[in-house]
Amino acid sequence: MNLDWYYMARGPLFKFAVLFFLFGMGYRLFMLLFLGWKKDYAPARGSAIVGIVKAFWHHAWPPEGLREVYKGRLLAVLSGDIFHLAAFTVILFQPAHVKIWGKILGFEWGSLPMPIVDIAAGIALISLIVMAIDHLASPVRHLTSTTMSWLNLFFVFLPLLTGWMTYHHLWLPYQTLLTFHMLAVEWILIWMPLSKMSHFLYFFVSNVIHGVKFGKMGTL
Amino acid sequence: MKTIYEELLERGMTRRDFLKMATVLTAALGLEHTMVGKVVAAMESKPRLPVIWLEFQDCAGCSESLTRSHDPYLTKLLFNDISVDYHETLFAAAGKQAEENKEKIMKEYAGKYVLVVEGSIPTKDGGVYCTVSGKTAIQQLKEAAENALAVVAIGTCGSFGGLPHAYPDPTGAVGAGSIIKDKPVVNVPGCPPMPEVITNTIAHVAILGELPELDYLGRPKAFYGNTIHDRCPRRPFYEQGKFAESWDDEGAKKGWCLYKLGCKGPTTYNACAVIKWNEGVSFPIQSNHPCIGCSEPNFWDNNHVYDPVAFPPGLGDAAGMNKAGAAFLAGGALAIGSALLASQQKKKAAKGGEKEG
Repeated sequence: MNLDWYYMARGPLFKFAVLFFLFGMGYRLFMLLFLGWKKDYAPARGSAIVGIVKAFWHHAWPPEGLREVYKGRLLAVLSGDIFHLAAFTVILFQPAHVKIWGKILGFEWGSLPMPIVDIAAGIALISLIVMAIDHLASPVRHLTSTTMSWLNLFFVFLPLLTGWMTYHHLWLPYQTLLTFHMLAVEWILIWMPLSKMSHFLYFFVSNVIHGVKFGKMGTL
Repeated sequence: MKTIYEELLERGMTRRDFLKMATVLTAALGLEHTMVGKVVAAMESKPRLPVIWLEFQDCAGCSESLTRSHDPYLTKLLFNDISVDYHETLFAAAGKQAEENKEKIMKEYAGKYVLVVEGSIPTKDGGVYCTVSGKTAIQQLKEAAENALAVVAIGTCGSFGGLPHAYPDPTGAVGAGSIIKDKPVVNVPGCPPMPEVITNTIAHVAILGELPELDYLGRPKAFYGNTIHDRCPRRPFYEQGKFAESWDDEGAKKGWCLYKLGCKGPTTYNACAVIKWNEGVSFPIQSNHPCIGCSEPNFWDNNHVYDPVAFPPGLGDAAGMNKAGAAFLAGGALAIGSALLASQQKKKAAKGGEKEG
């Protein structure tokens, strides 16, 4: 294998991907905040803070009316939660990742033993597969699935799979596997601001906005 | 022409000792025990093969390493029976006579000698940065390689350009494989390579007359088949998440994993953790120092010696962080600009609508 891709993936491409990601997310965040807000003249019937808390809570635990949608597909619904927990375990607590976070943020935290991270990666991969099956099996989800939904699933699957293969050193030389992993990570960094993957940031922003709005209206 | 076996008998070796030596040699070459017969047959049927050892941009550290091989059979075999006929550092002769001798061997043993290359080859400005007896390294290498049975590049410099190739690479240094394209080059990288790996690889080519099984970077798989990490005695600590965080903390004293202190073991293919140095006494990690990844191409530029292998080179320095913040703010500024422009256009459109109305 020519190692040029390895150097590119670990050096200039990674830096470009990080800068593109930050530029893109900066654009999307500020665009949202400066789109213009209508002044709310109505007198507040409830608390905005309580609204924010409830908005986050309802995301974690669906309210009465929404539970109908989840009936009979609890595993599929939970797979989303499980995926996020497992993926964040890998992203935030794998020793190599901790070092990169530390280098970027200027401080770092303890890492988890590799078998735990390994199991978390396996769980994240399996839960993504369950989510993909649900996209096909659930009529509602099938209808709301677009090409972008599938691409999102695929692009999230790749860094996890390549990272897992790299740790287990499967089939290919370590540098080749690490190159694939880095390229997959870089692609997702570029993809995030361009797609619904930006929900990692919008999730918080939209819950706060809706929480404030509906909290004040007293409808949450 | 006498075979290696015949020469050994003449030196007083018994058949029993010869077979013992062949068995040890087979194991040392990284071959299966079933290959003993092949090694014996090769030594019984093939004459001694001369080795021509060229040095270019190097520190002679690889030659130093060779002389410290602790395998008596192999060293003896290499120096007495395979015969290193031309070696600029170990040679007693010098100047014209030495060069004549080299040319004589190249003629006499055309197609039968093993060419060993130590040091990188400068390519910039016509290769003027390294000349031996009036010829550039490129000329010397091409001439010697033309009729060689095989080319073995010793050290990271000879294999991939090594330290002279590191930024800013003033001489345009490359490894032998970048110059020699018409025949396979066996790379034996390391800074320096392990003495046993040097002797065993040369012995493999010289005795069996064939190349050992190579990996994707042209390195013998017998010695470069596993990473240092895979064979590291501290690996269990890596798995448990127990790392030395600084040179003198509890973790370092307890011999925990040196990954966070810059160990390049996970990306480095070499046999240090198995064969070890100084007659099997130790190797860097065992002596509390991280592996610096010296047998990998571009190891010097790829990461700072004490930066963890996870760090993408150049990321996170002060300039990098400023760039990151600037990128985020630039995106934000663009967004604010677009939003304000959109808002102005909206107002204009609204005014226009009012007028029309």
